Amino acid sequence: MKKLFLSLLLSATMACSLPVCAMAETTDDFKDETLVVGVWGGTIESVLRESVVDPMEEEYGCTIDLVLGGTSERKAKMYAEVDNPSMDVLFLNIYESKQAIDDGVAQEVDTSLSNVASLYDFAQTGGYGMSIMGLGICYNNELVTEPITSWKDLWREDLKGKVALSTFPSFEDDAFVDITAQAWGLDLETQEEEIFAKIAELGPFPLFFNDLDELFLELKQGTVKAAVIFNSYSNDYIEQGFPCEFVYPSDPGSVLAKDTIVIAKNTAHEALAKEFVNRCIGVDTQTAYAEKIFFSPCNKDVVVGEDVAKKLVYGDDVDKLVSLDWDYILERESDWTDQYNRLIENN
Amino acid sequence: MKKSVNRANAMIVPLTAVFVILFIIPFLVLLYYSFLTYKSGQVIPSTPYTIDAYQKFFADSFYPRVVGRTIRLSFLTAIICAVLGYPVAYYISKAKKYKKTILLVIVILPLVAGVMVQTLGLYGILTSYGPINNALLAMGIINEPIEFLGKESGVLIGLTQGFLPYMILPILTVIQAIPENVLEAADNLGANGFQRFIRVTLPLSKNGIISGFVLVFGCCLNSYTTPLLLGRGKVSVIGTSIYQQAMALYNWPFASAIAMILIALVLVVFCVANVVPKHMKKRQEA
Repeated sequence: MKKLFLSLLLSATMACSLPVCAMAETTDDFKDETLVVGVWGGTIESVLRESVVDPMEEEYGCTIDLVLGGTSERKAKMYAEVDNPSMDVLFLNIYESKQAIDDGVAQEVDTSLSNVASLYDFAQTGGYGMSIMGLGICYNNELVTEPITSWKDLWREDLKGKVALSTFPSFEDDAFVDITAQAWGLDLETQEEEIFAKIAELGPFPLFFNDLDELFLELKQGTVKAAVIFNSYSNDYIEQGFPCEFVYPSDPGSVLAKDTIVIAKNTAHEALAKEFVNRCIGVDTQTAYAEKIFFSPCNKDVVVGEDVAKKLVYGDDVDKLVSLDWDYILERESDWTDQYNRLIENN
Repeated sequence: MKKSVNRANAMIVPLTAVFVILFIIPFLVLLYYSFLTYKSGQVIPSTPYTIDAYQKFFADSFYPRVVGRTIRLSFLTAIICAVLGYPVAYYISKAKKYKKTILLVIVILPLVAGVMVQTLGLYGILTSYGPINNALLAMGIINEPIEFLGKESGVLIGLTQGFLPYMILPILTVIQAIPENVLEAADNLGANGFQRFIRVTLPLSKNGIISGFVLVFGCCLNSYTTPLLLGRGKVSVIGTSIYQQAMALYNWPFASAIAMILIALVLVVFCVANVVPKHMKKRQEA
């Protein structure tokens, strides 16, 4: 009996120590490794450091360098350095990540990662979905007294010359061409001239923003009254006290956008990169993203309070977002950029 | 003698190597890229070489207009810098010891701060609700704020502010090199202060003006940050167009073609700047 008890105790001790051993082995594996991650700066960086970078560095003894900036530079580097990438993990937008995987410079989604199954279906393809955003309209609700409810409202007389778009090409501007077509019943493929003429009617444009601080300063001052922008960015500034309101416009609706993570094809730190990604898409990080910077979670298991939920594309709302044909949009992007260039010159 | 020549040759090897690695090779790569094919967001290196990128540049009148705007802004900036910078350089050259040092530091300080910091500072000053407009409104000089941002005028102010030191420093160097006895000779021959300046100091400092002009013009030609921020994305210049094509659209062939055309323009400016003083000297000698 005593022997049996001792055997059971020994087995139980071994069983309990197995995960610890496994952890210790993993910890040793990543020690002194350096993972380079290309990501946006500002609040995104802060949350990522707090939720993923600092805990991983402490746990594994590795170093995680965040290279801050926009996706253009990151993507250009990824393509230029495909054989020997300087960035192991890259945060891209919905169409860039898909294209990078199609072009063979980024890895396919590894479905064996424990948190992948918890992602929405659309967040499991074309890169690991990090956050969902809705493209809509943010406006100064002190200066614009009649609420904006649909995309067509941007063409109202009281907003003439007061609508800001982002510098192009960008997700927002590309999507806005498609949205303009849908809102005014124009055909995207055959009526491009009419679509851009419609966009030109919004002019003269006060600003093409590439910096959100600049945009919200101008929104506050009234130089800009409305801007085509993502819900997450807007809600972050509204929370800071800017006199603005974000709307998910109708006709045809708010556009689905997704921040995505990809792992560089030939990364030398694949295991560490996957561990990093798995933590990013895990419930804890996704919740922090939602609660602190109002980025809607791609992980279905995230639960947030009512106040936060109002500022997110959350639950059933996700299905209401409009998906665009990004393959076609990307094909036309270069020509659309030329058209935007000419439109700006004449405004 | 031969040994000293060899030693002198050896001394320029490191710089030549740096020049070849950092300029000649990238230049050749860009030249190569400018003849590649771009299709649906991708550069296709395997297809035959093409002049599509150059054709696109000249076929679409937008891009020649961008070049024209860039040259116009660069030229105006260089002229304004010369007009504003010459008196400053002259004044500094006449200042004594500590005062001269302090003035020189004031001139150089903006260069240390960097273009981005300077431009962001100017952004705040030039906005419709900034101190300039507020002061003008308060004084009743204007009824409505003047829009500097998003216009060529705002970019011009930013470029002038940013590159003024590049004009002041070469002029200052040349004025300081004018021998004192030459100026005394002018005095002895009966020239008053104005005549001495017009007939002696100004002609002898023209090389400084030309050097400053070339520097400022060259810097403005490929400026990016100032037009982007102060132009609010509405003032397209060569720098912003290259960035847009290369980094946002990945159209490296077209971006490279624009860069080649920019380099050609800079070469023309440098050649003209080199020929003009020689021509002027010949005329003076004649």
